[in-house]
Amino acid sequence: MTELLSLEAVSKNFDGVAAVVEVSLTVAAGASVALVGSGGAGKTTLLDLIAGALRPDQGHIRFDGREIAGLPPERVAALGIARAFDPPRPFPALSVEDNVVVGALLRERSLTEARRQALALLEPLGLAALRHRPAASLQPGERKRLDLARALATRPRLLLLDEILAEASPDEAAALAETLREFARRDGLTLLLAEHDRHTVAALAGRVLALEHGTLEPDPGAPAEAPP
Amino acid sequence: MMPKRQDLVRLIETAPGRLARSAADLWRDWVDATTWRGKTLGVLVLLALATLPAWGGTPLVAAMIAVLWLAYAGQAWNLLAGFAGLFSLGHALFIGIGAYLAAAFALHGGLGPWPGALLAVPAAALAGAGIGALGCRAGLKGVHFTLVTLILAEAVRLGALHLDGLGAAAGLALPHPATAGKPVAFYYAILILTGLALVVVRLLLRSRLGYRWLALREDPGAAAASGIDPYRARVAAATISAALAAPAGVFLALYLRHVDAEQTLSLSRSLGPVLGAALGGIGTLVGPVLGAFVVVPADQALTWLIGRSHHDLSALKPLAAGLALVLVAVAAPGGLWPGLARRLGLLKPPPDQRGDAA
Amino acid sequence: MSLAFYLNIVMSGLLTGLVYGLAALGLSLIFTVTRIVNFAHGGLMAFGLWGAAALAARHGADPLLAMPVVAAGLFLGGFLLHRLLLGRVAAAPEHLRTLTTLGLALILSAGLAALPATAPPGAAVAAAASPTGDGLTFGPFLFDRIELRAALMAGIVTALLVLFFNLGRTGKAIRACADNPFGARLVGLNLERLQAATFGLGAAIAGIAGCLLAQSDSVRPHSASDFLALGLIVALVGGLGSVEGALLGGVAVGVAESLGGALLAPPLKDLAGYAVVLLVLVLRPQGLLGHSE
Repeated sequence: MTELLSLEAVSKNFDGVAAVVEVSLTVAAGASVALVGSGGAGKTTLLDLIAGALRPDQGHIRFDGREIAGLPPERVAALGIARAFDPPRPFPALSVEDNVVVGALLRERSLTEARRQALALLEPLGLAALRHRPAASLQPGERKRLDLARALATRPRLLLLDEILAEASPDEAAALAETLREFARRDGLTLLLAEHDRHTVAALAGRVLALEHGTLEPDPGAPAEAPP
Repeated sequence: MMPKRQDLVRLIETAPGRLARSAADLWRDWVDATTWRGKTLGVLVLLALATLPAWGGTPLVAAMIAVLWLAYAGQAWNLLAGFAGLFSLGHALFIGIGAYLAAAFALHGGLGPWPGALLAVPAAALAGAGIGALGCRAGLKGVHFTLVTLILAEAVRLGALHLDGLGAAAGLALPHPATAGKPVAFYYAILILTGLALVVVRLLLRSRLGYRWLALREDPGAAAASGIDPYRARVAAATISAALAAPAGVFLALYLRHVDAEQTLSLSRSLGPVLGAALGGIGTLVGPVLGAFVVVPADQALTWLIGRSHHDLSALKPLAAGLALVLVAVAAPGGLWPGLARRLGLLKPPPDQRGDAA
Repeated sequence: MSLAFYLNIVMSGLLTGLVYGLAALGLSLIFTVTRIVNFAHGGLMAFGLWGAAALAARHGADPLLAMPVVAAGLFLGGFLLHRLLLGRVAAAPEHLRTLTTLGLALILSAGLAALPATAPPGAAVAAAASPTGDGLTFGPFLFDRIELRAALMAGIVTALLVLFFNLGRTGKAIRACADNPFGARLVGLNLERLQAATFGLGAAIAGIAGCLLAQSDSVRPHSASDFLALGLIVALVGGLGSVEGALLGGVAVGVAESLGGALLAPPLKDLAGYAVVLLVLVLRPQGLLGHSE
């Protein structure tokens, strides 16, 4: 197995409150791993640390063998880690299409090419009909999918998803899960999902890790990790 | 950090083509976005502006030169503030670089002001890059940039005030060019410059850089997560905005035939474009132009009023400007343009609400 | 020139610097708690200056007596201003807050221009101040009595503020607002009122600093924008949001100005402060004692 992401004893405190405590984990290339925990367990903080939005107080974060702890978010994105936020953060005044174009511009030099790729991403996520609408006018579910489309446009190798399936109806969640699986298969994408409900991610994750109060608990009940 | 040399060369080579395309795009944007009423008004305004010297008297031409100058300067400032989200209170510095370079070359060297005019853009660009680099460092708040612009502009003003080489307090007087007493030439020059500014701004907004700026303005965190380097994008914005502002200074020097620290580099010189763009609408293309059409006549009306009165009413100008700024910030943060466009029915609603197919 | 000469130059700069520090303190305070850069700060200082000068000219009163009056008036004015106006833009994008205080600065400068003109403050102050002569010798130092008194007042006011923020209940509440607005509200603190009070306090400090600057004839900034530039320079040198930084910045700028004026040429005195801030911006952008995010 090739290790794509590894965390070693990563800790983060906020004013004396321990948000993440000595978390160590590895994610294999091509795998789909879920981090499950209740609100406040530290899932988003962990994603923030990996994505460079926060700097760990202790520990190492390695991506593809390279130390990335403390790198600014734009460097981390350039290296191939993208994220979808919770709550979603599309650029409000930009149109749906333009939002995704911004993501595509990380890898594309040509604006025309970036637009073409953006449109190609909007289709499978059901946003093509809304492409001229300003992102601020979208429904919450649509905003989440837009957030995801923008992240996918950066052609990442590792995709960090924060509560991507939460608040979706079972049908929507199933469709989204299928789309994600398809992207992962097609592009060799590695997924790290943060969710608060284990059952929601069951269809998608090959491996489930439980996070509680900033600490990772070993999960004996989870299946051995295997790429989807 | 600097753009690659071959990129710059390619940029310059393709510039005329891009500008022409951008002008065509601008035209198409306008056609698509405006209602019949908007189109009619636009055409009338353009016709009036194009033919002004033919039917307007000299005072009107002079007034319109002032309006168009502020519209131009406002566009340069607005690019930085409205699109890249960097609020500059020191644009007088970039304008001043243009003005002083033109003046210096006009007075020495025997080649007239034109070498200075050519040098003004790269010189101002350098200053913009420097100020951007100083003001946008990682880990500092956005307002830091604003403070840096304010302080550096003031520092240069004081320097110019004390340095005899730059004319000290009295300033520099340019020799009379052939265009003395012919405001018409200046009028068309500034009209063309303002049109060019609109084309250039639109070009930038639709470019890769423009997308990055808008993303940065909307949500710097999400922009960074999408791979946008905030520092580089901001420095680029400051550089370009400064480069755009320099010709305004060159124009000023040639038109007024006089540059001095108080007039060219003062805080009020910096505040002019700010007031115009804020009133018209920061972050819109039309905003600075509309704002100029409000600010300049108001300023001239106040000047007339102050001149006529027996009392010293000179405080009316800062009072009016201050009230305008506060009112805009509190009551109409988007400026006058959106409300006006809506009220007069000048713009069509955005595409998705029209019932057009996507 | 002798060592004593230089020592006195530096000391003079230090004393003026303490007043500069006070001015920057007000600015820093407002920024830390309300997240607003108060561009009207210079105008408020100029108002304090006018108040002191007017009192000295009209009633021959010691400008120090103007301080409480000016402070009280500006506190009230600042409080109301924030409550009624600035509070509305507190949550708005930063540039709107800038526009608002900028507009207020302009309105203030218009107001100042409309005030009855007073004689140059320095002369009036010297006339009203201690009649027993203005020199005080202490070792190699020859103190200007007026300068010394102003610096002392600045020091006392600063010390009182430090005590207020560390020991006083309201002071601690204000600090809580700055550190953690959400948490402060949860605990039941009236955020709006505390922020308005802080703004008023900052305005009062500006006025006091203005009064104190009226004491010295050698202080050249008399216009609102000069005062603003000074306050911003000192705040940037020391680091926005740091009390010690404001004082350190003030002293640094004061000494630089003093030395610059003596060693180079008096008109270049102004530029010395700018040179210091430029150096700081390049070498340590967050300010000498400031923090970066």
